[in-house]
Amino acid sequence: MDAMLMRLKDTFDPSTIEAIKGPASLYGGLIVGFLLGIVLQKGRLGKYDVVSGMFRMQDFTFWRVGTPLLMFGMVFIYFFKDIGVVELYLPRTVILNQLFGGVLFGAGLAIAGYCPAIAACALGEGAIDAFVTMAGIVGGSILYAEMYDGSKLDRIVSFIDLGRVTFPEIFLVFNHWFFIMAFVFMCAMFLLGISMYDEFLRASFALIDKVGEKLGSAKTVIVERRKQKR
Amino acid sequence: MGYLKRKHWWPFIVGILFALVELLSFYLSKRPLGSSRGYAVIGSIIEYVLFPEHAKTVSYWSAYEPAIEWTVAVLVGIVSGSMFSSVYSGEFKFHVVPQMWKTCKGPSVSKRLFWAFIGGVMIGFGSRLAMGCTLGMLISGVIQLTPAGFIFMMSLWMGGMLMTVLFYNLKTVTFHRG
Repeated sequence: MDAMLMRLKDTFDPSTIEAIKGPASLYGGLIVGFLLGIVLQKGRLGKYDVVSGMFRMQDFTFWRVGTPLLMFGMVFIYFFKDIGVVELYLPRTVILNQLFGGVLFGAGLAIAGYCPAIAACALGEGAIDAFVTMAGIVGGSILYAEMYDGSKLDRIVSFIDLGRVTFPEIFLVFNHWFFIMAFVFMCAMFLLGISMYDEFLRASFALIDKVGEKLGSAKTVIVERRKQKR
Repeated sequence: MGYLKRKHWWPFIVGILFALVELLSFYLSKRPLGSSRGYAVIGSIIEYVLFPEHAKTVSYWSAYEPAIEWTVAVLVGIVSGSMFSSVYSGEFKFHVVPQMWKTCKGPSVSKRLFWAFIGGVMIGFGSRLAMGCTLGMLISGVIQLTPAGFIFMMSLWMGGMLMTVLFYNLKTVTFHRG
């Protein structure tokens, strides 16, 4: 037991809480996470009903948040990169890994209703099942490391590795702002349409709720009358 | 501070603020936002604490050293920030079974917890397979114009729609919105 506590103490490195800047600093992570938690909660994103409603095509809050996020994020990042304030940190593109991983991730998202960041946000709102989902995510990570990593299947699936590339590099476009312009224009049109459709859905669901309440109360009245007759 | 007391903000504003947080993460911490790495690090810490000899032999943990680092701090920050925001606006409430699950799968608590765990395992495995989750791969990948983010976005949508049709079997339409 004491050895376990000693090892737990080993995992904390005091030098990580000295500075705010830098990729290893804990304070930086706390600040970014705190702001992200507020934004996620105020956007109503940390709810099972909203995530599951997205896949049931009756709640498009995620798309209405995600579209401006992608277009403004892209403009900000590339603008500040051109100025020289920030750098890009590209993820590796391994086609089959991302394809199968995305399908599995989406299937889990449809069942559990929480993705890794949303689960933390939902736990902050008081959802107990989000904590179970977080435990499941840790379990899935351990399962991957123990069973899958380095196996024959892993080597076959991760064979098509493009490395750290971007679309402007792949298509040999001399300026990345052509891609950003096209993406932002598409996103603006899409956002307009999806926002109008979402408002329409909200109004119609409010109407259904109102009618449903009246029907429900009428139903209980009828049931009570039947009981009285008997 | 009155704006912080509202139950929810307009989605467009939330999207722009989210993009600013992402930019802050690029500027302040010199790495893109990501949360699923934190879960892998927590798994690595658990294995290191319980079975230290076995954890050394697993090659995958060499990239995820058992040390409390930035991504774990982000997770703690998300939980505390969300709790602060929901308590401040009076929305904090302990609950287990969500409303929409109740209408189509019944009010059973153990069933909900079981499926939440199974879904969590699938999410964890899938995010390690795809090398990132919605935050670290989809958002950070798409805003840097990498093909990885776009592939992940499309396959996530395909998997989610397919599983919704199979799991909730479409007959159970819920006349309810969160």
